[in-house]
Amino acid sequence: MEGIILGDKMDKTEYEHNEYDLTKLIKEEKDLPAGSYKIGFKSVTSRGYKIDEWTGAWVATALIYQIVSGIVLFYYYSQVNPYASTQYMINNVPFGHIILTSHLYMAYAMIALVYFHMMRQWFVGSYKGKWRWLQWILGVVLFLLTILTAILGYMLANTAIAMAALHIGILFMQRSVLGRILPGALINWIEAILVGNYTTTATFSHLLAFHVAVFTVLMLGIFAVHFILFERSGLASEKAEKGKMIPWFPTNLLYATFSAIILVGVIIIFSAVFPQKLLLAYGSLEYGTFPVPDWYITPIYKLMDVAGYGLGTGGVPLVIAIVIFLFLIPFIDKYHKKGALERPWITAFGIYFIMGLSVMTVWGYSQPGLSQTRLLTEYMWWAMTLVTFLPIYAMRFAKKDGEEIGN
Amino acid sequence: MEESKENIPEPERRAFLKGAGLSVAALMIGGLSIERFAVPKDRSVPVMDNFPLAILEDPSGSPITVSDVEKYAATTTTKTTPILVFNYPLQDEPTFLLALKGIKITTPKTTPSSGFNAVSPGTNAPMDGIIYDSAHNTSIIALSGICQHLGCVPPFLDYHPGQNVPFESELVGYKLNGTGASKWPDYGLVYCKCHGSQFNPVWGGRNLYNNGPAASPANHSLPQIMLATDSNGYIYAYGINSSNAVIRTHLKYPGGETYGPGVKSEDLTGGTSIVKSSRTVPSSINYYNGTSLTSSGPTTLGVNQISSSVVLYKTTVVSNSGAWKGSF
Amino acid sequence: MVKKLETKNIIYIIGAIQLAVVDPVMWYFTQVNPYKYENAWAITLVINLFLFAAIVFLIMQKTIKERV
Ligand code: FES
Repeated sequence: MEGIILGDKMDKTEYEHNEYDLTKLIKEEKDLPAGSYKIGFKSVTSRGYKIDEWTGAWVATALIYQIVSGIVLFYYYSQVNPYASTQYMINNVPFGHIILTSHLYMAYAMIALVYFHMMRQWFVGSYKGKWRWLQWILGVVLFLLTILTAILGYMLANTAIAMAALHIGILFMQRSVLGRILPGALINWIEAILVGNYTTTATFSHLLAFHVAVFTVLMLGIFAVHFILFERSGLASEKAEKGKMIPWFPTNLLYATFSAIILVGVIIIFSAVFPQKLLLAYGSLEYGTFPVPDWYITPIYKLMDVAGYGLGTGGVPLVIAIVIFLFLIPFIDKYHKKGALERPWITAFGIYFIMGLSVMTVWGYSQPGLSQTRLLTEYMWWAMTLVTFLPIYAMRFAKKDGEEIGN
Repeated sequence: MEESKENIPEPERRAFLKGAGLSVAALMIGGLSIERFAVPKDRSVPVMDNFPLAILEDPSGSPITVSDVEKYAATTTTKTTPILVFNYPLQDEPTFLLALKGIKITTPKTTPSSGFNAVSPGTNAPMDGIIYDSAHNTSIIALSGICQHLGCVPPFLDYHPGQNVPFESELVGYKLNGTGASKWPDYGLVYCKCHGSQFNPVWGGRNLYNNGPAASPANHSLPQIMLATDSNGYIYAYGINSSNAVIRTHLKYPGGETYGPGVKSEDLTGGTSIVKSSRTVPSSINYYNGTSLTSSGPTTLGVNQISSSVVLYKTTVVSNSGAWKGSF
Repeated sequence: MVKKLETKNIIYIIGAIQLAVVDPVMWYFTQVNPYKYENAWAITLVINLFLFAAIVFLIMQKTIKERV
């Protein structure tokens, strides 16, 4: 077999020539020897440049931005003096307040974009076919990692609310059904891994390690697989067509660069115009303070209140059930036809999910920490079920009807 | 690629996979033996042998006296009162210091043996571990500021006196001048805004309050920190009332004790000890043993006896306003 | 050689040694007298790893041989 990969001739007594033409790197290699593996960037049709195909690219941009800005912040953060060092970043580090604020806002954007990315795939049904079921499952893992990393980051400043969240998290592990079902030693291990011996310094060292290393590396690794699988499966919404393919280089690269610049630009403008104010430090006393956590936590917080069956026994299993459902969607969705109305109950459930999430977010933000009666809770869930499922099935009916008349 | 798979004959490939799988499993089983080291050596090990005897100081470092604290006393007509907080028994463990004027907090008539239901006080002697100033009819009580539900701390857990119904409590049905269950108690409640737990300081060590329009998600009372005073009127904290004593964030894991004398070691783990004081240990301090002032403390609580070997610690009382403004 | 041990059997034997000999020793070192045998434990861990590497090596050899 000829071992030719790049270059034209190969003389075994001489070195190969250097390659300076970078475009060759991304050219399709037609002459790979049998048994080779390759990861390529695929070309797409013009459908691939519609904006809804790029939701994942934005999340990836956000991830990269978080890593870069996070490294800068890491230079100044001290887990011995969490609050003071955060204040130092804001007040004394050149551009510190912009870097810190944009790190925060990009985290917000990242979570919002993850939701956006997820719901888009949900409605399109692009978890179907080829490797896409696995992409979806890894995506859910990435979603959870994103939220967890965000919560850890939010705790790192040692604000009063962050410590409340930490205590609640730890006690939740022990007191919810989780802690009661799992053996005590296991909970003790998990806790020890999260907070060490629970002194303040040990706690922050552990949180920092998880935020900047453990979860981030996990996220990057899983993201790499998620992305490679995507390149293998291709876009869910298009079929390759001869003569209509737009080469990956340079169009795709330019598009990605362009959208990344826009996203980062918007975030930086926001952080310059609305600089972050550091919340109340742990230990400060102020009469009449409300425990309002960050917006991506409020839905879970409120869900605990409104599950109607108590926090530990109602809320936790509910959240676990939702996560399990997310994991299993590719296998639950048995519809064959493409299109949102062709998969009515999945679509309706997606809308239910979005609605529930926004209701919980807003409600949690305005009235944190109030247990609701079971009646009110049931009323709300059933009302939401009605307004999501009824219109979807009505629309589907109307569409079918229209098609029949059309024929 | 298809051909290359066939290079190793099928049955042998399967055997290889099995062998490699077996080996990886063995590796993991062996690796798991490190589980002992996932938990730090000093986790769940008390950082001090005993509840510290600590003198309460103001932020400038001078001891506070009973009459200093009485200036902040709340009555039934009080609208706002500054929050007074000190760390006890360890650092980062806020404890409320409350002064209530016009009431003698007493030991409940019936002694609950194991339950967690609050019992209204009778006409007994002042409760163990409070300081009762009969001249001004004022009780000074210290309650842990760590919510017994899921561990929220001040300012989210906060004392609201009789004329101050917080917004959240109004939403669950309390009214300023309500009657029956909707009545905000005369001396108010320690109210947790995280999920709405309520604690009635007038009930002393058994303060879990479930008599309002909404039940508390917590099912234990806030631990009562034992207070005593000396001839100068200085205030000392010397332990935790063992009837309800595990500070919430200290529970080891399900199965840990929640009350009773066996919880001391739990309370003293997972933190950093408070700072030693350079003052001399007072020659005698006065406890209420349930019936009268006495200088010999109850030994059953594991309290430091006043002797030459006792170490005196200090802790700072801070407030949200006034001369003691600061953070804990 | 009269009767050559087949590669797959060698692999099984190595795996069994890991499971039956090395693992119990590792557990012994951490559980009985916890903080005493840390160095010995580390060495047994490496032995365990090397045994696994030996299996990887054997399989690799086989695939190279078959392929050329
Ligand atoms: S933490 Fe106080 S009510 Fe939940």
